Amino acid sequence: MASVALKNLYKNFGQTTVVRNVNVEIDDGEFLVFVGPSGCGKTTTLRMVVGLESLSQGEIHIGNRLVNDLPPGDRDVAMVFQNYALYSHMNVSRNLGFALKSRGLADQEIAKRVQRVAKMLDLEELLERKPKQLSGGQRQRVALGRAVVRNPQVFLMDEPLSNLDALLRLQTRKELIELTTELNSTVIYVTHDQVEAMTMGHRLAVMNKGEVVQLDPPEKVFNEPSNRFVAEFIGSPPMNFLDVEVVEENFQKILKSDAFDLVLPKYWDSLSESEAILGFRPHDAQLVAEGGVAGRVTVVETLGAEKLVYLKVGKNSLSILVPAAEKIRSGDQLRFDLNKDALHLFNRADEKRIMLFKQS
Amino acid sequence: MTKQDFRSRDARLGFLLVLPAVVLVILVVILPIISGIQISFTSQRVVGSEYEFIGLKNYFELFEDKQFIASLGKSAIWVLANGFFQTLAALLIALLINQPFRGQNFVRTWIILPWAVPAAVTAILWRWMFDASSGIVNTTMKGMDLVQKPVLFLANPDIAGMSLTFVNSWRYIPFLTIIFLASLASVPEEEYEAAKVDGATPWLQFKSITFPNLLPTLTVLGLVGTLWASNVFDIIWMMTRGGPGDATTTVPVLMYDMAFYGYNISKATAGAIIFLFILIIFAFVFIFANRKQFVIASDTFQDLSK
Ligand SMILES: Nc1ncnc2c1ncn2[C@@H]1O[C@H](COP(=O)(O)OP(=O)(O)O)[C@@H](O)[C@H]1O
Ligand SMILES: [Mg+2]
Repeated sequence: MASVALKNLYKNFGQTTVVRNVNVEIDDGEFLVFVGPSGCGKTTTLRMVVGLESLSQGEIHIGNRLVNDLPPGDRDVAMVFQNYALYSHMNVSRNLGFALKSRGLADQEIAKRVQRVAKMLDLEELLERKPKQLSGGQRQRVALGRAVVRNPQVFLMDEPLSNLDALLRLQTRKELIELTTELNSTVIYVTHDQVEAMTMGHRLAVMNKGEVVQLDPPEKVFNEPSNRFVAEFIGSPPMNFLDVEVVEENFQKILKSDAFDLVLPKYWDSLSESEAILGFRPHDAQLVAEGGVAGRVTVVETLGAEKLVYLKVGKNSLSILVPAAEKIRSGDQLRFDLNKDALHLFNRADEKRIMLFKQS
Repeated sequence: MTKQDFRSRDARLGFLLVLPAVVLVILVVILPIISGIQISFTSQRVVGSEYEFIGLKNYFELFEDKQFIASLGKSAIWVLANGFFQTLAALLIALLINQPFRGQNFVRTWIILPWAVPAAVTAILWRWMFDASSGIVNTTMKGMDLVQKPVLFLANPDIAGMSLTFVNSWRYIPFLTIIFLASLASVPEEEYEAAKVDGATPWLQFKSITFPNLLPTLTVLGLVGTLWASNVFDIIWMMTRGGPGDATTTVPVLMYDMAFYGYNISKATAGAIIFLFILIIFAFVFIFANRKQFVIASDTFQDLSK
């Protein structure tokens, strides 16, 4: 396995720049996830790393080699494609062995390694089948096996779970984590699914419109999103946002919205902005009998152990999570408090997180 | 209504819908063949003349006719040569223009042009170009000092067959190329990408991805192309009339010559029936031997038409 360094990557298709100034260093053995909404340039980035797409600018290093000008076959990376891209005219066994055959390994050695991977991924019964005769989950395992059998420097995976149904996806996710941990693989993983990203990645590179907007471990991305986009994209149900004024009264910083005032904890005293965007997650609100923020319920969604309650608070539409036992109907008035240690403030102009030194 | 009723009603509707086509096939294909078989059992010499029933006499005569046996051999060589040359050339051209390049769409569209040229024009065009004294091919080759004496493309019995094969292929290659291009377009791009990542050389990619995808198409073309090539008459007749000597006298050419210049229409018809029989048997054997590929091919064409 090897480390990977993406330096100052750009990709233009004609006039449009779809990948912009991407700088990411991936450690040996690290599981790095590119996550972002559809169309933000994740696949393009991955295709540049594997060599299926040329770079408009920048450098890609794998291990200590600059691979910009190497063809895909010489980069010693394996890719799991979103639609698996299995060789439709070859059976599973030949699919698995194809890369080894390309490298001119002896048939005996190929057979041995195919057998080992087939055993590891529970494909032994399927070796004679053609891709057409496999279920989605089986195809996915063959695609994975085709990468594993090569024992490459780096695994590249483009939404490998997105074609599986929900239950199988969970199971495969776990297996994939186990497998890559066991092999101590360097993995660059692409997904638009923030849950997948949070559960799998050692670090996340959150992408938006071709740029990496945050590169941090999952907890940090969740707790300290670098801007409003990340805050909204990561976490489910998504964070609430509302415009607030910041005023100072009696040496205290107070957030004023059109419907309520909120006294900030002491450590916000150094806040210098006079206006901001307040963000809070739905689970950082608790129902209270009196005081707090008042709102009128518009929609109630039952999620199982909890209910997601949509509210109108002044002119703002917000949502909060409450225990499922609470009897709440649309039209009800209710009151809630916010967990003041879990508030996020963003700059109105550039929507970047407002950082105070207290928060590391 | 039960399921059974639906089925039988569907079946009846289906029958009604194909009826016109069936009638048409009977009228324009089956009836002429039957009437041809009838004529082949008679002594008729020209259309409309008197004749009597002579049984299998025409057939027995043909089996002893050295010219006829020779024409069968020439037809076989003709089919093999054309099939090999056209398929290979069309495949290479298709692979070449399937690579992205500027003007690709233009080439893809206009490559069909030779196919649209009428056979008569093609024949005249190439006769003129192959002309010994003034033809562009000979004058060019001479200008480049490639040859001392002009090459007698159509008058030299050793070369005439090759010249005709070339001209006939020139007509058919565009069509075959288009078919191959369509077939190549149905190979998923992803598989090539996966193969590149797996480090496969272009040759290995062709062998293990392109070729298996082309195989059903190749098989179908093997059948259709054989039947087409067997029946080529126009180009040969208009360029060499089967000559020089009998050098390019394939079965269709011989039959035409026998019917309308040898004034023996019933014997020529018998020859045509024998040829038809050989082709039918070939078709059956070929389809049976390659039935798997035919099934895949028909699936593919269905997929493509969706
Ligand atoms: N070959 C291409 N030519 C032009 N535009 C492309 C090409 N490939 C991708 N794009 C554009 O680049 C952007 C990023 O695409 P992609 O990397 O596939 O996004 P993601 O994988 O994050 O969904 C999209 O807007 C897409 O339309
Ligand atoms: Mg993508």
